Amino acid sequence: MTVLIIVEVVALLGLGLLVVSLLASYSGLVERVNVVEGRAPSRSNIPAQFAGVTSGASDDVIVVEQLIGRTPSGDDVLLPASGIDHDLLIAFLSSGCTSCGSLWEALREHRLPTFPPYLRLVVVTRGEHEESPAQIAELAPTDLDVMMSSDVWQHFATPGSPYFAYVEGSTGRVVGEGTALTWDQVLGLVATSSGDAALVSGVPRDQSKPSGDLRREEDVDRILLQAGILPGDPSLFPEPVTEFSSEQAL
Amino acid sequence: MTFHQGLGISLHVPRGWEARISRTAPQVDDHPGEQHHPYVHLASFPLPPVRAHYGGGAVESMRPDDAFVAILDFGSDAAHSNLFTSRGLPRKIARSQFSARQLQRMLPGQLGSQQFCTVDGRGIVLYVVLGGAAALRTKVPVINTILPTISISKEVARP
Repeated sequence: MTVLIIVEVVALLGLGLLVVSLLASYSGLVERVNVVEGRAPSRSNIPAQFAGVTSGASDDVIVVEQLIGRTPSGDDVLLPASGIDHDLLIAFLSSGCTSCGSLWEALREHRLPTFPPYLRLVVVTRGEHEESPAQIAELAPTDLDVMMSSDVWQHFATPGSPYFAYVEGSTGRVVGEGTALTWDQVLGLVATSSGDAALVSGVPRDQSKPSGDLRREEDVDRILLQAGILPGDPSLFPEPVTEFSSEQAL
Repeated sequence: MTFHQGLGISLHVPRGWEARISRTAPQVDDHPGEQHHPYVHLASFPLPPVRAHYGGGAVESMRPDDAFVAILDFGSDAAHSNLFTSRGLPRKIARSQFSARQLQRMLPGQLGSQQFCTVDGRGIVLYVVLGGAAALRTKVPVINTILPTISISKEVARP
């Protein structure tokens, strides 16, 4: 009798474990389906990284309400970063870093790729105690938003320069960050963060398609971009199988 | 609302609005003894880095629901003129105070308002531009929450 009870208890425990593991598995599946169908805010919770660059992104979500700092010419500036109808691309640059030189030069010569109209580029350097306003004024063109603020660097936990952060203007959440050596690489970050594949493919989305198809295309593009697969990536065009040997056929 | 200050001026800025407290740097062609006083630009839309005191370069890109506010300091000399006899910065601005004729530069659909006053012995101009009639309903109430928070002190914070 005792043996029978022990066997039953063990069997019940086993069944219980099986049910718990099935529930956990189901919960995971539901979460993944929600992410794929856009019901869960995966893009906004996990800062995206883009191909070919290192990223200092942490697991914590960075939310920013506004950027406060001083321009090299001495203006005290408050720029909104949330509750706005455009996104922000923040370029953390410095006067001393070698890699920043070509980025500053491209800014001065207006040799930038075409960023989307919903994006505002703001260059943020360290504050006046760590950078010379005169030197920054010399490096930056006058028609560029430049702000000096060590607090902003600290808030973003900027690991060094050059570094870039993409802020979603509606929420103020940092949805993409990383480093880049050229503005074309930065455009890749923008495409990844915004899910706008047309930025890097140069092919605008066909708006005559049914809205459901467009939405699915955008979802697929976003997932591929977050995985670092840009338009034209060779993995999207696998070698076609042209010949079958009799052995393969078997 | 976020507290923002500089050059002896402080104010609270509503969420989504941009604020810049500036002063024109001395120019080589300045008259002897010419002074450059601080000014504030506030906007519900992105301000370009280069703008004229009355918003030239910025107001051209306004949409009907946008608002631009400039607070211009004309210094102590201006305070003695008849134009600036009103004491204290207006704490409220009425919709009826807006018209196209109040604009520094008339642009289609835009409305403006100019108020002159003296604050702590300094001649001050409050200049507001609305992108269109829609902003009378949506942005004037917001501006009226900002105005009471503006403080202009005699002391200018830095040279």
